[in-house]
Amino acid sequence: MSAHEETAAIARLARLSFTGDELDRIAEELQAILTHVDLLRQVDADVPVRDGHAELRAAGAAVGHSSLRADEPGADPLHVPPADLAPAWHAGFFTVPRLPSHRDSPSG
Amino acid sequence: MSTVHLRPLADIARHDVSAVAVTDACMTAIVNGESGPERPNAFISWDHDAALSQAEQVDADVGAGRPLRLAGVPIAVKDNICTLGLPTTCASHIMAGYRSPFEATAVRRLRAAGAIIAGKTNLDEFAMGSSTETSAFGATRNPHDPTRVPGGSSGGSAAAVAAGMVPAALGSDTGGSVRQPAAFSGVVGIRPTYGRVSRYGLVAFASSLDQIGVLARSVRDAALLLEIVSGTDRFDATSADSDAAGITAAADSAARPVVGVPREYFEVELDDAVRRSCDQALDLLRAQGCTIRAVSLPHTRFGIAAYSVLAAAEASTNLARFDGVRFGTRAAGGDIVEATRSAGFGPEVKRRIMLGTFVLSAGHHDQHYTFARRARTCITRDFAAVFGAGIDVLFTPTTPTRAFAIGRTVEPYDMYTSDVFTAPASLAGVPAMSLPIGWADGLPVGGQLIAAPWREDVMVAAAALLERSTAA
Repeated sequence: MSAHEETAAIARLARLSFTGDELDRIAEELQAILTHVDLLRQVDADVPVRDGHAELRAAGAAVGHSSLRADEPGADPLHVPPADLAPAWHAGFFTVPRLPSHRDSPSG
Repeated sequence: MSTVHLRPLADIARHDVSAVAVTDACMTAIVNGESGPERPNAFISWDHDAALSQAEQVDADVGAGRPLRLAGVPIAVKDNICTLGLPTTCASHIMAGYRSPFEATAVRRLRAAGAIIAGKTNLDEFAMGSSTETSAFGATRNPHDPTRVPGGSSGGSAAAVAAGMVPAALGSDTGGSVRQPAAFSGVVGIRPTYGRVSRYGLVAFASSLDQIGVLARSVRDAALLLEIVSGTDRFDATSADSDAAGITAAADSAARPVVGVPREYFEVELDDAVRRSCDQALDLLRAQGCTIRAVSLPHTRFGIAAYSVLAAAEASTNLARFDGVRFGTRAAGGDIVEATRSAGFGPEVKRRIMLGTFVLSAGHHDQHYTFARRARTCITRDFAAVFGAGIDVLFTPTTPTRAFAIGRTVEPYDMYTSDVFTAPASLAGVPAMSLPIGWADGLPVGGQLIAAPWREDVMVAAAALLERSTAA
């Protein structure tokens, strides 16, 4: 995969769009930054890195198989079916408990 | 023009001048200060009438006998901290029109102590920057030289204090964004121990690094402000049940700390004035009876690289919520989320989101991100080792240079290196502060003190000693 293609893939994950020229420029900028942070390879590999999910599993907690999501853009929040957003849904409306102060409430 | 609002905070709070008079002086200073072509552009918003209304209430409360430690003290708030009554923009187009329905805990604590929220200050967009040039509302200018930056990302808060518009301000510090602008603007800035101050209401940039910090005209004022906003908060699970009482009193301590000087912070290229001022500061501390000891923080060289990766990774996650659905503006287009984010974020924010997304993606996560976490562990251990070996505080330059010119063209990573001395303390979660230690050609130089976790009292004591020595 070329740098341009990889940058385009990252942009899709990040939910950002760029023109062709912008994509090339940001690819260059990212490469320059990554060249600098490559210094981190010199850190001692024996230094432990905590895995919080592994610790929770070891303690018996029910944790998903992987703590990492797949490289896919997140779901568009506007595409979530309304019925999935509320516990109750009727005739195009969300149903909610009636407030005690409502005029039709037995105590209102 | 009246300067009653620029007296020490404790003096203002004594209420020998009414809160209304102090607030009026402050708001007049803001209006006058933010006029003209070379205005600092420190503020994004303020409300003169609302501030006076707050002050009237404080005068009434004091009259009724209510003790208020910050009675009538006007405080500016960085505009990535949620407030009621004023917009919260994060200096970004994507937040246009957003008014928070709740207030940050730190702001609520200020109001409860009688402080007046004077206005919201400018910042680098979403706190990502070291110069306050990436704001959607234009750059902030350094009050000491309008051709130069005040630092960032809390540049608006630093400039507002330095220009005498407010006596103190809240900022936020992720990799140095309180300390670096404090150094560039000639004021005191404190970044507390991670967890000392609730992050509830601070718009998240990098959640494991962000802390609300304070900026003020003196060590004592900064300490008092920190004490007021500190404490556990049930709305922030990362806030600790810490005892902040005594931080302000530490400014009167007669203690003579053992000061560690990490060689790695002085073995790099430094502005001549910065090096000279640091040498003079150490001479002053030595003359006051402090023991000065050379130490080593061997993993310092990984600090900026680790910070760049970790902060970007966390930012890419935190800023995923800005999708045109829940906050601020919404762009039209087939893909509302992509259109909103692409139109709403500035170039630096996009760059960091892209970097963060990259380092967290499959095939790269086990490299840059994991390496950065290892580096963070090493840096944290370095600090623990020196503080466990009898060092009370560390002294370093806050920045390698004095304030640089607005519009300076540099590669993105070179801008990040402005935080080379401040990022390691952020990574380790230890408290750190900057105070003015010298001047050269009209520009201030900042010196940084770093202490062990929860030892802001030791840090403040050392800072107050240095402040008195420098002033003498």
